[in-house]
Amino acid sequence: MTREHRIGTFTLAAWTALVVLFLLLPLFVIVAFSFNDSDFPSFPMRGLTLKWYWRFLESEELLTALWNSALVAFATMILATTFGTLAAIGLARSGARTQKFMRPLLSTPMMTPRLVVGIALLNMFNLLSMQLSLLTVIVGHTVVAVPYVILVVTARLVGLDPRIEEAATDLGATRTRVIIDILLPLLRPAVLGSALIAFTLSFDEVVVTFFTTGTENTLPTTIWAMLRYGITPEINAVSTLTMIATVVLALGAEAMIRSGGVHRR
Amino acid sequence: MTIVSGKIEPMGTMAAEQSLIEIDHVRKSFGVHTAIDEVSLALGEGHFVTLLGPSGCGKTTLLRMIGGLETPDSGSIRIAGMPVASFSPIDRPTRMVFQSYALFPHMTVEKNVAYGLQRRRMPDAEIKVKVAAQLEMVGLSEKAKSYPSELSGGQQQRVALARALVTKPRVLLLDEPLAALDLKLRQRMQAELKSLQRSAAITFVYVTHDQHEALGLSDCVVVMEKGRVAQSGAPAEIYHRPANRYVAEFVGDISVLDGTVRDTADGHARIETPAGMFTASSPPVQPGNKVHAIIRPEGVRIAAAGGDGTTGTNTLRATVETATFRGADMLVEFRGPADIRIQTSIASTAPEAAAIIPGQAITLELPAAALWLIPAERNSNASESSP
Repeated sequence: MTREHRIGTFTLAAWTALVVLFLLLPLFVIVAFSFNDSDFPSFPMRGLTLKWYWRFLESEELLTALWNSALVAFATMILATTFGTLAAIGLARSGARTQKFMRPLLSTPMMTPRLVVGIALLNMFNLLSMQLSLLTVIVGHTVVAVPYVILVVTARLVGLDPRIEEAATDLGATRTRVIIDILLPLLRPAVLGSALIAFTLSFDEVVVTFFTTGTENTLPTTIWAMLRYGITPEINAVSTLTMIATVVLALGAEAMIRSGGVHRR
Repeated sequence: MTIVSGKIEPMGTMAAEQSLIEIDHVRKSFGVHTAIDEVSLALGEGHFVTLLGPSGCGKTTLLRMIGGLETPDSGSIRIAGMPVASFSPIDRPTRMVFQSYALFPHMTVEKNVAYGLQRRRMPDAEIKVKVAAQLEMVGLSEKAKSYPSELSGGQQQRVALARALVTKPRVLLLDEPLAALDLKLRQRMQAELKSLQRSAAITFVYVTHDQHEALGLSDCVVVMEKGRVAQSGAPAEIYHRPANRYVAEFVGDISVLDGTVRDTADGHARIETPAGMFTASSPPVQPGNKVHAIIRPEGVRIAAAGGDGTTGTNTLRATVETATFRGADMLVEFRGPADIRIQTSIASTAPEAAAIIPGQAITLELPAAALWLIPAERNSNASESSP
């Protein structure tokens, strides 16, 4: 019995290790090759170097792309968080019927394939005769990110005692004051968390960007374009940096949302 | 005199006073569910009024309408003679204390209490003085910088009271404010609430489903049933002179004798029951009316152990069914003629307690003063006073 048990435990551990390896190995390869002193991704590694990172920092094209990405992601974060949070508050206060109708509707952009969202946005911008630019990219990314914000903020809102808001109203607060004084402070973890999610979503969005951008490129689309000449070690370096930034932001978002408790100073 | 439609007077003695809150034919429904059905009430200034009833009877909805958190579908609510329908909360002379306290968890005790004053644009220096004085009054001065989550249930309750009272309302609306506290603390807070209400001379409208709380605290109890007022009056009146069986059973235990009125004379009626003729106190009834004669356990008297002697007036012979020792007293259930059940409580130190043995026959007296008549069916009797 104990022996069988031990074999079972071992098998499970081995299987788990395999799955984790399968998930993470490609990422390790990218990181490893970004330090490889060779023009081609090949084992065994020739030696360690940071030159690919320097090359990235010297590349006008990549730096511009990084700047564009950061700009778009920041703008998307602000817009999506504002709209999403207000929408979540509004939804929570509307009747059951409105909610039943609106909630699936508002999460549609999240469920729809990005390809379709991209084509739809392109069509709309054409109809409106809008010049494609970073602005249209921001609009596109906001459309994609808002549902996530609504989802996260709503999850926190349903856990709030509605009587806290009523108490504020009873003490003389206007609707706006209730939002500023009561709701936003109590929703802060969810709002900040969803802001980071929106930033991350935008930062590595490819498909919607591809359809909605004009002449400017973001980091992901630039990398995509560079891939036509094969995977260069430079790309590995950029990818490694992007990965680190994204992981840090995602972990931050998670920690923020999890810290459900009341914030104190 | 502002008794609304002359129907309900919360208290006999209040009729001559000015009513502070007048509720006039108010209706409120949520979807198909009617929460409040044509309720009219007049509540006097400075009184401790309790809205009593089981969950779902509409008491909280009525309270929330007085406080402006819900709007009546029809009818009107006037406070101090002013219709308040169009008043924003800041202009209402009412303030609410919520069941779960609803303190602002991200603000200190001090800031919680200051919030209502800040909304009134009072200068900071003045707010500081008032908040400090209010916290002093509820005995929480040293907790001013604490957060609600660091306080006990009783302390949170006091913060909720302070937060409402500091804005000097004329009416304090309390929605089951003690429901979350344990028994000992609840009893202490009841006493505190009562003395607070007396010293502050504020009208309290208090919602509860606990009849002991209602009877013990109130000047006036409004018993509610399915969105209507079943009866309103002083606690003793509600307890001893219930208008119907619903009220009688909600505020305590009763034993019931079914009977028919034979004749009446100034406040008394003689009724014929399967256990013989009884004289009872009664509201106006007509001979021939079908009635329930009810009696509280403490009204029943043990006339003679044995019960084999001649029975006098208002007595009946019964056998002890069960006797439950409860410490201070004994709860005894008797079975009388025609399967009549009579419940009584006897002090466990009383001499007759020794005779209470299951199977023992005993003569019980149901004094006319303790025997009260209520209509046997709704709408069958002129004494029915509920709307």
